[in-house]
Amino acid sequence: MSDPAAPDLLVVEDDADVRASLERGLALSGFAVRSAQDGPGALRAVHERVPDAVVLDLGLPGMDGVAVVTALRAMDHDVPVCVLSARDTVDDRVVGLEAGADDYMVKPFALTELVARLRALLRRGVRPAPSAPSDGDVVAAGPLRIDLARRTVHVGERSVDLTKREYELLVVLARNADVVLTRERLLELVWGYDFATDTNVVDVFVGYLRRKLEADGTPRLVHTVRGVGFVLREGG
Amino acid sequence: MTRRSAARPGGPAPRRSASLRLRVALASGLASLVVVVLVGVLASVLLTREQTDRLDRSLVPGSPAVLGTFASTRADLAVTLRGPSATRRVSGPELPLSPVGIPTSVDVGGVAYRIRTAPGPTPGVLVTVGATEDDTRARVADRQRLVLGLGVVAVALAAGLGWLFAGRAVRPMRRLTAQAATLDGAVDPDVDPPVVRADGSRESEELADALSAMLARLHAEQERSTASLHAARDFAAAARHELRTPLTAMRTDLEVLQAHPDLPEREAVLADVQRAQARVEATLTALGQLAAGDLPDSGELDAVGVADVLRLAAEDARRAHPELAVVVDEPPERTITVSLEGLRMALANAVVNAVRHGGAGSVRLGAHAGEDGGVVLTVDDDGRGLPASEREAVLGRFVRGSTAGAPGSGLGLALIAQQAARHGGEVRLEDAPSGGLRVSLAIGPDRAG
Repeated sequence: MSDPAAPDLLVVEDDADVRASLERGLALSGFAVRSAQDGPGALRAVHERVPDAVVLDLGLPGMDGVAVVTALRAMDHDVPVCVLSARDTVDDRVVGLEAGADDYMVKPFALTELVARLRALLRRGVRPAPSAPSDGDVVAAGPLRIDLARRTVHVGERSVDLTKREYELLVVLARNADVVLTRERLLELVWGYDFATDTNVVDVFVGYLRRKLEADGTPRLVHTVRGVGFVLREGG
Repeated sequence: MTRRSAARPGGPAPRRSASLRLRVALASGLASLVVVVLVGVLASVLLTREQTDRLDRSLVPGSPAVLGTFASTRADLAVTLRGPSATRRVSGPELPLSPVGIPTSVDVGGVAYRIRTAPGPTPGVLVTVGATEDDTRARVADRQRLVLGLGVVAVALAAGLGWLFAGRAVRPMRRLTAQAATLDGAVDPDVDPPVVRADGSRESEELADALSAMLARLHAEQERSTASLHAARDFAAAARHELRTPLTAMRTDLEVLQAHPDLPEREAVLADVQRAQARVEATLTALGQLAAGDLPDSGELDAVGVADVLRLAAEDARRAHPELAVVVDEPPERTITVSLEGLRMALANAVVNAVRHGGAGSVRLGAHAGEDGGVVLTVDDDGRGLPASEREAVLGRFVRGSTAGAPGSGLGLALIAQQAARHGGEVRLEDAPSGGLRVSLAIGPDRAG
């Protein structure tokens, strides 16, 4: 707990019992934990000192978790955000992740699982991505053009606005165009989850990518290979 | 029987009966046919008799000379004289002898004759006068054909008019059918049940009324079941959501205990687990009560005095919160017909709310007559109250006020609101004279005696 190298974690949760349990559990797992009980409190804490990662409850009173993620990303904070949801409807996951969160967990969850994912996300945060861009580096696949230096994505002439995690997923898929990547491989390459974990976060983000890439009727680029994974290629 | 009931779906469509209109037309045609036949037969009988009578009257015996002269003027007449010694034909063929004075039909050489025999002008002589019946029969047949023709026309006319008038008569039925055909099975709770109208005949109006009543019943039934279904679905979703929060805390705590068996604050963690477990339990209890109250017309109603209700609620409050000062005001002497269990539970929740979230040290239970003639039960506390802006929202399910103290289920006030609604009233949150919050539970005038 007093380890100066311990990653600085911000837990945002309105329920006092859950907050206390998480604070204790995460601290015992080697994080330096700060906490906030509502949205404005979370933003104040970030303003004070930018944490290394954020664990954010979606169902906050007043300013909810989605608004907090949106505000964080609008302020150009790239910290990994894992949202916690008490609902298991797809809608909730969509709003949290669409706003720019990196992963989600549905309550009640295993603390060890949360810790493992946070550690992985933190590793990805400090280590440069395996495909560090050099100036002028461009990945192209069909109508898709990714400018790695400027971090911009174009489909044809249209510029596509992606969240950080969506962008990273797309880069991995585009660099491996015509190669089928399993969900496990994508979790490892994009999220750094090199351990077995039960999540459909890849599918959710692939869904977002498709929606954004195909917004103007562009034919599907990211294809599902049933029972295997995903592949980016032109045509069927 | 067996074969009929074994008719499979998808087989030929059931044969349609003839239309009401056609049946009315056929009925009127048939009725007129009966009348026409009766009248025709009668007319034909009378006609035949009348013509025969006329013929008979013409067979008047006279002197042979006169008869001879007369007979010579008419080709259809025949006269035969019979003396004691000889028979003499005055004209025409020889006629057989017939009983004296009685007109008789005979066949003479293939020709039908009507003959009559009378004593002649001289004693011992009989005169038989005969006339062919051809003319008469032809005339009768003529008239019969006429009657038949008229009858056919009358039957056709009756059937045609029946068809025409029946068309008017069945018009309301057609309208009814058209309206019924536009009704679809879907019931929109926001739309009133459709009303079917078919003015024009009493039967159609009665049928329309019956149909409308049936639709209204169906509509009400469907609305009830839809509401129950929604309530159940919301309930299930809310319950899942609400239970996940304490379960998250519990699971985290248990994992901590498992991973760190020698944790110094072990006791504190265990206390937290117990608190979370108590929360799950309390939430389950509240959800159960809420679900019971959601059921339409659940529980029985008791007629109780307002004073008794307050006394019971005060006892409940003292038992549950020994440290709380409970005061009961002198209530109006009224009897209310309520679910006593439900009201006690609602008032107990108001007291819990005051203690847990208001931090109240005392509560005051009272009652007064409502503006609408009902009765208003009040629970005042001296706690920290609730901002006016939140008073509406906290009555909803799983909504907690910003001033809420110890964790609660967010269901307490929702339970009170549910009981008020069940008793034809509502809940209002106001400032209490004692400084805290006043929970007013109104009971509708129809429940208050």
